[in-house]
Amino acid sequence: MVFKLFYNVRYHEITPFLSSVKELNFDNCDIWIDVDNKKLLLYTNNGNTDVNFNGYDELLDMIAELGKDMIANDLIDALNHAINDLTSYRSYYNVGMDKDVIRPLLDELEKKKKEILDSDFTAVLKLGVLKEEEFDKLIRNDAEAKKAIRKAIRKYRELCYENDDDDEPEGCDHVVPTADAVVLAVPKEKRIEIKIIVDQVGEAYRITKNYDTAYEFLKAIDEYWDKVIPSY
Amino acid sequence: MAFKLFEGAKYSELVPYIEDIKGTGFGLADIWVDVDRKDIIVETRTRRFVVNYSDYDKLLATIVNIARELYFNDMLEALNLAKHSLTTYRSHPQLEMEGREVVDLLVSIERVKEYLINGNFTVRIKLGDIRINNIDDFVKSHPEIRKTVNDAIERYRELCWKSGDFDELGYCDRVVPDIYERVYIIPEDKRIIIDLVVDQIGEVYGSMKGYDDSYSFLKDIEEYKHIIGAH
Repeated sequence: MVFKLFYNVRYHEITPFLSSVKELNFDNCDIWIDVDNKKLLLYTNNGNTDVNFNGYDELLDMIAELGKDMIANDLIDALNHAINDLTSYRSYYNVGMDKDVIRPLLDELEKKKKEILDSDFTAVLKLGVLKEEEFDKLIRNDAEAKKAIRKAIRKYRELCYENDDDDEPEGCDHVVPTADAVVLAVPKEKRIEIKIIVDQVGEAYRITKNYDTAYEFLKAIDEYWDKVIPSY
Repeated sequence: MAFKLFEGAKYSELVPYIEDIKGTGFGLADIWVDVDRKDIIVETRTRRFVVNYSDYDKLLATIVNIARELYFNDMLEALNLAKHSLTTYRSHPQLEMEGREVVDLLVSIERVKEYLINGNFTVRIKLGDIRINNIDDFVKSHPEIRKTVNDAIERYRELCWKSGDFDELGYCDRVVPDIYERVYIIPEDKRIIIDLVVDQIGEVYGSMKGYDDSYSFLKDIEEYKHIIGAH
């Protein structure tokens, strides 16, 4: 099966890793993956192209590198935006404060940028949220997950009781929070994680699946793709 | 003589502190202060409101309240924008970075917001810069900062040598940086702060004047505004 892995990827994010697509000279593209045929399919605003790989390891390495580059660019952009917001967005430039509370924030933002640029981090690909029927199936077949969700519901009700604004506190006895299972893939480590997130409580349970080979990992992603509502 | 203290203040920011403008609903206004008459003048694009105070303490208290409101709103908006940029400005929202997300930064931003919401701040208003035209005369009349100024000029020349942008031999040996007095007021504490700022070096010296009564504080602000305006 073929599925879309990344969308709206900019030319300069891809070409350092896929020099063969340079000549297409596009602005941005969507990247699909064909696991069975060991291919990446690029749908650009200036035509389409396929990139073939000799092995699954090579294909997976490419996905990990691309993902890492994209998330780094993305976060650096977001951090630069935030720095600009804090330094340039002022209606009253002549009014300040005796103590500079913004400088430490700017230092933190700069430190984060440096961390991203200098360090070796791992990109995580959020595949999406499990479809309702898949979520139900997961809970039915996993006693530990079921137990964790029950505990999270109790916690949610406790929070409900603590909320003074509630006119009918007895309503909290029956209230059921929304819960989602987010599916994440860590290409560099050939790992898939399913995090069960409960409204207001946060992560209630986590399932980690490790794969020995790139092929098994990519096939697993392929299978999950049918089971999730994609993130984009 | 009246002087302008704030520019482009919003109606919503002024109305809690200036009763007379209630219901007028203008867009933006400049705020002028006339010390001798004990007036605050709200000047919009089409109208002018003169608000008279019975004493100088009340006039100063209104200035403090307006300054706090302007600063608080400004900073809160900047912090919210920064938060928004960190959380929603993403081209690839399906990608995350393991263990290196921006949650800690968001927590820090929230902490600063909380600090401001709790009112733990004292506003400082920049009146402007006074350029020192004759540095020798200035140093003569302020002998206590002679060394500081000379050191700053020396550092400026070192930067000039390092930059290597100047072909003319000996230029950096003679160059003298622009030096300013940057004047701030802290209305809540009735203080005037004067920082000596050297181009490319920054603040090298600071001095402070405290006042016992609102009148002499406001009169000195007026005087500084006049000097700054003349520059």
